Amino acid sequence: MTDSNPVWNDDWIASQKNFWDAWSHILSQSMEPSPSSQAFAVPWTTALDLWAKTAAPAAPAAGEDFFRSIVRQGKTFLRLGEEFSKLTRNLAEGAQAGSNWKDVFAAKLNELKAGFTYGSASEVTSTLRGLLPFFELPMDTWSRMFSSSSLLPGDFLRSVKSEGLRDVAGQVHERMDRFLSVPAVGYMREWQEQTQGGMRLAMGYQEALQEYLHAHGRLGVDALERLAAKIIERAEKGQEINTLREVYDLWVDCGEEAYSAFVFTEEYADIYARLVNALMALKHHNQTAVDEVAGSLNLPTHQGIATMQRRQQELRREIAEFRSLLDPSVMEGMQARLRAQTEALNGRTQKELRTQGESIEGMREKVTVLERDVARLLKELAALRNGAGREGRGGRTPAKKTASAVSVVAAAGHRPNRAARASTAQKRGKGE
Amino acid sequence: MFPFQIRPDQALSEIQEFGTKLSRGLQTLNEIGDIDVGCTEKESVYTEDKLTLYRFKPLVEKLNPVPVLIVYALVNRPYVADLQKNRSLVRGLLAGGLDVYLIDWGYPDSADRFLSLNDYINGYIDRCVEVLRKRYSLDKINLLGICQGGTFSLCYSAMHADKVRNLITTVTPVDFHTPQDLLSHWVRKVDIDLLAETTGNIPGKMLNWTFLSLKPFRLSGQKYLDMVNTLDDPVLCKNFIRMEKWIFDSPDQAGEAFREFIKHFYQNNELIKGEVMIGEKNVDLENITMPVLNIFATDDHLVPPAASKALRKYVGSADYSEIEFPGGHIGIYVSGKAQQMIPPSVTSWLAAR
Repeated sequence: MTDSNPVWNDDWIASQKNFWDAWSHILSQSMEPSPSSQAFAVPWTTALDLWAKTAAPAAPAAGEDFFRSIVRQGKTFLRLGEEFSKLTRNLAEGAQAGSNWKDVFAAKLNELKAGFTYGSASEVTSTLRGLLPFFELPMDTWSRMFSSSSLLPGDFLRSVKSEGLRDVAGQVHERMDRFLSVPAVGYMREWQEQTQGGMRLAMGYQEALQEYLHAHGRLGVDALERLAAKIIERAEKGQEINTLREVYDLWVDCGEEAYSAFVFTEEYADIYARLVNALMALKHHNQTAVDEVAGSLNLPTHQGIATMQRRQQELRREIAEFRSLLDPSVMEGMQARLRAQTEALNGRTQKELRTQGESIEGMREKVTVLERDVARLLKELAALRNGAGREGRGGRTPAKKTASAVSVVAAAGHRPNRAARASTAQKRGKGE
Repeated sequence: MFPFQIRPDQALSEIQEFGTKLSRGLQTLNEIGDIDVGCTEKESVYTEDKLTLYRFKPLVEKLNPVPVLIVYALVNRPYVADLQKNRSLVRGLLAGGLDVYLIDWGYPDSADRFLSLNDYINGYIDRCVEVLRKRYSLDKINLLGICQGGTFSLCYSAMHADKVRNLITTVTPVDFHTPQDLLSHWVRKVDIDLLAETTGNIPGKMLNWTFLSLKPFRLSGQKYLDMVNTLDDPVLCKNFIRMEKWIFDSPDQAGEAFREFIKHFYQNNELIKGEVMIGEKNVDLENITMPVLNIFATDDHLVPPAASKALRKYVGSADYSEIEFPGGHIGIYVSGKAQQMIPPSVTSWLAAR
């Protein structure tokens, strides 16, 4: 506590204590046995409400939301305490009157279950809703979305209870459908069509919403049944429940179990998707309608702004791309890549030239060998001719000798002699 | 046996005690002053649009020569990685000798509606990586992705393997169709094109409530009631409010990027099929050949462990390691246990590579 804060002085703290003491006194009186259970009204939440209203202005801005959350949960806790105090009192009275507590418990449970039916306007219903603010979080989220997009308040369609319509729902929807299917004609044709479309979408959303709320009603019943089962299980094991906080924690466990069992099902995924899709379709339709009005007044439209946003993003992309190209490091990178590519190309060209040079050298050697062989053969041929002249008078025929010489040439063309191969290898070794 | 043994006087004293604690709590709230977040000194080294690339001031002399770039998710704010001195992943990494950088995406508004995943991954992330490559004259840097930022890091590493030396993913969804993935289950049948077209950007508050709806009784109720018992402790109270501040500090999501992420990752599970296209580039996890460290949390209700562990099956890296953290999605960054376990594991893993 800081001295500079005038709010925080001993008097204020003392007054807070007095407040709770005073309420304790009132509460202790209200908890005295009375002939009527109706007289057993334990105003704990009222006390907290009053306290929160007087204390909230003193909460610092930094912790304001936090403080509000704690008070909200405190109220849930106290409300649960109120309900269970009533319940235990009923059970105790029943037991005194000779009834089995389990029968009284089951009867009370059925009363609570009925409270989960949407459209029920009982006191129990509102109490249960107070205990189940968490169940409705997803709904609450989408309801806010609806509110932010529509001329209608977020809970407008929620208050349209389908229970009231249920008996006649088939007929109503059929007639509405028929009415909405009447072909639009005349000067206002487009406007009529649009209105009919909007009404169809609103009906679709209302149906999806009621389906969602019914599903959550069933979820509440499941949580209650789990709670009852746990309490009976404890009773059978001889385990006592001694504090209101134990009851609250048990309720939280059962709520999470029931919720988890439900939200992982395909049924929930379908219901959830139908709700979101119906809401978005309706909201989208409303946007189009608003756009038409805005367009007729030459005001910016949702569609026009979306187009501008898209183009602006494309421009940003292009600018970022150009900027990255102008960045010296990117330029250096590109130059380095080009240099590397050129060097690689040069290296490859040189290697190819060397290979080709070696190939030419090899061919040249082969030609040399061939020339040598041809010279030798010519020499041998000349010698043979001379010999033939001398042996014309009784030697071998020249034609046969020529064929033998050609086959030697062919063989030499295919494979250089050992000396020639050694010479080539030596040159390669020198890198010539 | 009759199970309810709550005597009226006991109930009354319980209620009175509750009221007294609330009164004291209000007094504590007035004492704790402003709530500060982000404890480590940092400097901005690059900005673009609403993005800021920060460098955290090193805490030790001898640094690992390769910087680490933390890629945070688009959801919520990155200061959860540096919430307070004794609960800071960043501080732990700095103490382990790492040179730490972080991408802060800022708060997108309607002018950012058409930012796509390509703009985020091949645009923003790539330009941040370029800044670090240039700054350190390195070909490759280290990446550390957080949650959705981990998925972005995987996509980036698959498309730009030549720029990533080591990859660390934390509580990162890879397989988006595992049985315990409630978020995926919920959005599977939602017309995401219509939703994005209709809402433009996706309100951060909507995402907040969606996350709370995953465990509504505990996250919206019980935890506040638990807190009443410790309201008279200014330190615990301040820590709690700091965490609350982070939870509800949710930027809106750029509509187009959100649409693409839900459609291609959550609804079609294209990442593990090798079918995701970011801009004109295909993301094939097989291309992730650098060393990978995948950290996941056993009690993660947002990204179930199976969704993260799937990575092992799809990456092309021969050097793949996993760390299983016994805690939840946020606890992996802010719990006391995490401070002992995560930063030392990351720094030693990187030091060996």
